[in-house]
Amino acid sequence: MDHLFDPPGGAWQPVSPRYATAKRFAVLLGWGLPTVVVAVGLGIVWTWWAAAIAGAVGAAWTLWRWFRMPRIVAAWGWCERGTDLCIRSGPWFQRLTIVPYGRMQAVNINSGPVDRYLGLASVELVTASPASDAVIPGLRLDDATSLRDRITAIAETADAGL
Amino acid sequence: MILIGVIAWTLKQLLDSWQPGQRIPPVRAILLVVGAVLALTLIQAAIGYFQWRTTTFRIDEEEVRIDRRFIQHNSDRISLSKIQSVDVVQPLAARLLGLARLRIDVGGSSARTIEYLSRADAYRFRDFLIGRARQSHQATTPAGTGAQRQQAPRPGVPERPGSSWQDRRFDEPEITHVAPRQIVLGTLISGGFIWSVLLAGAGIALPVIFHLEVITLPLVLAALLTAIRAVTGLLVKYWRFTLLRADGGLKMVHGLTTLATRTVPRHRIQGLEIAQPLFWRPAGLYRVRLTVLGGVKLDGELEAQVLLPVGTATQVSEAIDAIWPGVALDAVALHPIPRRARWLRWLDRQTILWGLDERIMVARHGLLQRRAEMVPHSRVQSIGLRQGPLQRRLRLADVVLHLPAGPVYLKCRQLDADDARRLLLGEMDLCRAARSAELRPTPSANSAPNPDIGGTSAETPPVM
Repeated sequence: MDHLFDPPGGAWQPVSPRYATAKRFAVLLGWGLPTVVVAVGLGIVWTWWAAAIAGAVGAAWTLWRWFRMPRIVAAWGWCERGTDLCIRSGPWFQRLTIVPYGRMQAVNINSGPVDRYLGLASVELVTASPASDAVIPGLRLDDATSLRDRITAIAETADAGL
Repeated sequence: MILIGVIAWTLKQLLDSWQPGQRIPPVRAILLVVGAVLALTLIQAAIGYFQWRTTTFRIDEEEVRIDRRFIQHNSDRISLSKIQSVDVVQPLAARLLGLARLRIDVGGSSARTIEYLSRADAYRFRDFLIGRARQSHQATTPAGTGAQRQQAPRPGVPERPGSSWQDRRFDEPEITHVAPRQIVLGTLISGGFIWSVLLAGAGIALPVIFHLEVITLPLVLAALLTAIRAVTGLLVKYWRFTLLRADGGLKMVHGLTTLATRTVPRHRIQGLEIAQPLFWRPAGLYRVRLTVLGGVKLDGELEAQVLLPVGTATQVSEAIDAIWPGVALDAVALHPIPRRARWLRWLDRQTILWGLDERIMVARHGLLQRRAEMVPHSRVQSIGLRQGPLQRRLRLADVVLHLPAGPVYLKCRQLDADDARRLLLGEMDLCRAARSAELRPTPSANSAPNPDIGGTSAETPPVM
């Protein structure tokens, strides 16, 4: 019996390592900045030791996320199994989603400002189910467009129906 | 809403201005209240009247056209082939006056309503539109099945327009109906009602025993509200619930005050959830909810999510059989989850079961409220596999089937990792086979035990 999160077909295609940089920027913005704001705010309106504790906890969490990012990014992967697209993610809480191309309603490519600076984009497969949540983040921009084109080409010929 | 707000505000004003010494509230305040209420009612009635007067609609061979030219002009054109279902709603006042509201569901975007037609017209237009939508449907599905359908002439039974009591034609056989006795029983032993009785009991008993008069009023009021919610949510809404087999789908007629008719095309049903709340267990009652494609944004009267508000096991299986002929919940062999899962599910490990056959996937769970979900392989959108760190140590994993938005959520909890992997890949293949069998009816589908299966495949919609 093969392992639970082995690729169902072929090998896992990794996402770009530069995606870790984008995620680290998000960590700084989402955890680092609030930590500074809270610590400084506490220091001004209350006492220095509360600010120190808040700053230490926030900094520890931010650093943890910062150094963990390569692992998280390495856990992302996608592969094709016949006419299905398989996406895996998460080093601890592992997820594997399989979406048949026949169920696909649209393919979106998203690229925010940071992603664009790093030349990255994410590809999202939209099905009739909001639970599907089939996103491959951190692909190189030309990889993303070629994947999108291939998916739409396959989906036109693949089985469909709701 | 505005009306209620105004009444509340004036009542508050009134109470504030009511000095303890005075016996009666001041006459001026009373006049103010009555005047405000009257004025608002008049304004609302006038707006409603002009809205109604300025709305025109036209139904021809191609499309439905609704023109509204009150303050804001707009014109809706709905192509008949885009119509997914048509519902008729008769709120109490309209029902007494013989009027009805027509609600046209066009799938993705919000539904169009035509307010108020005469009842007979509403029923007639509804039947016409649904018939038309079905015909255009068959024109787009693969050849052969559609033609085969056309050949079967409609049985020559006289069609009778529905009355204000029932919306049913002679050619629509009844699948099941909920007897008044059943729904009264279901309401009386529903969780909400039992809680309200307990609350009221506590509200009366506590002051007697402990001399705590303060808490009586809030408790009894809360009890009253809970009871009202339980009664209106079940008894009033689903009074005389009837499930009919209509042209191409199911028709549900129900309501004590508001009579609502809802038509659900069978091919749009994505999955079922059969639940048995704790207090219904001794009475052997179940509630069945369903996920309908595009049936999320609905008003309260037309909750598409309920297939059977209250029913016995027999009624439930009749309803399931009407949707997917030949499918039975008990016919699917269920597997338990491994014993080591008790570390994660301390209490309800033995209630978690899963199983599948060649047509449906079933999952059961629930210690107090028992639930069973069933989803046909042909309706699964995608599949997810999940495993947390603890589950990895115990070699367990969850498998989730993704469906369109709705009440049904099928999750096979805490499977053995090997089973989960096998299920994940096997289910993908089953889904693909089921989808392609629906798209091009194969000989095997036609020779299935129930000829209706061929009919189901003919109703496969074009891709949304």
